[in-house]
Amino acid sequence: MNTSTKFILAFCISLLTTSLAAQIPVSDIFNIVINNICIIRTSPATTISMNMTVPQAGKPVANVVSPPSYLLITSIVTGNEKRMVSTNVSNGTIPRGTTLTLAVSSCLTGDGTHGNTYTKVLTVAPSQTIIDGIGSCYTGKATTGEGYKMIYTWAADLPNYSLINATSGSTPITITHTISAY
Amino acid sequence: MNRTFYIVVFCILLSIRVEYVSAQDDNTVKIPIQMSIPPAASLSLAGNEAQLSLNEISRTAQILRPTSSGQVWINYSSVVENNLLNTIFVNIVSSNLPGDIAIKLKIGPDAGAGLGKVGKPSAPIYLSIQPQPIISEIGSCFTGIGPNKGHSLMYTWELQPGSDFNLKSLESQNLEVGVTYTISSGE
Repeated sequence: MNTSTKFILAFCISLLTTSLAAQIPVSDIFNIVINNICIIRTSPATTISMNMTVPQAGKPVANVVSPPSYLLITSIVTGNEKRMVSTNVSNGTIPRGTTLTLAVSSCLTGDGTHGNTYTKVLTVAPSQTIIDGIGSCYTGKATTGEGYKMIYTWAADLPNYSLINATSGSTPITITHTISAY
Repeated sequence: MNRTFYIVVFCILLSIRVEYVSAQDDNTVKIPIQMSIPPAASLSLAGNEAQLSLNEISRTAQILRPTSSGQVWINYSSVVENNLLNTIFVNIVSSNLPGDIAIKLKIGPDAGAGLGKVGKPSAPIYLSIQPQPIISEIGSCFTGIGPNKGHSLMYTWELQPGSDFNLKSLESQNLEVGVTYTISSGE
């Protein structure tokens, strides 16, 4: 091989090296983990006071309607998993001759699959489904009106009116809402 | 450091356990509710008779005259404490009746327009200054409001035999009797 051929060969190799150097890809590898999230709370979460009185002689006790509160959730599901919120009277009992009903309205705030809402008479057992079909979603943090609106109504169970007894002071009960997969 | 020292340290470390206790599960929320039902007893009169309201929910008053016609109904609502019952009493509070005139009161059964444990009427009575029970064993109930609801009250003016009056002349006298109805849990 003569000198000029060697030179040309060397030059070509150096070009090749240079272009190879410019083409080597560099990458970072991330392991992405989205946690399965399932969080519920209400706003406000303060004690609800309900006092059942007779409005006029001859009339039954009047319905007691709570001010609205809002159920807030953040949910991330796996695949086609769906979640529900179920509710029961977890402590104490509803006074005899009366019923406590919870009306839940659809969530119009936040985003995602909020599911369907229901109105149910609350019992110690079984738990009642108040929302189902929840997928991945969030409701927002309840600057007024965000979340699922909830209204509790406490009323006489008219066919069992004779069972109503005056309470001694006030009776404490606890309602528990649970979000879970189904 | 000898072996004993290391054994002691090891045992101490084994006995220390730090537990993370969550104050509340993220997937449940608890709402406290306080529910109260105060006892209640209230009554009122319905019908087109002259009535006085005493401005008390458990008492009401009425003026009776010989010319009074039409019927009166007594409506009430009651919420009792366990094992207690309410009773409705009537008594005369004012009267210019001469001694040989009496008013008989007949009480009808509940008309069935309400619900719950309504009361039972007593047998007919002659009105007196002493309170007398006219509807008893009232539990938690309501009668509905208005005429033809609750119990009917019918008054009959009676003359004792040998009276100087006759029924026709009664109407020309300014006879008035004031009565009060009271609902309470009894003596």
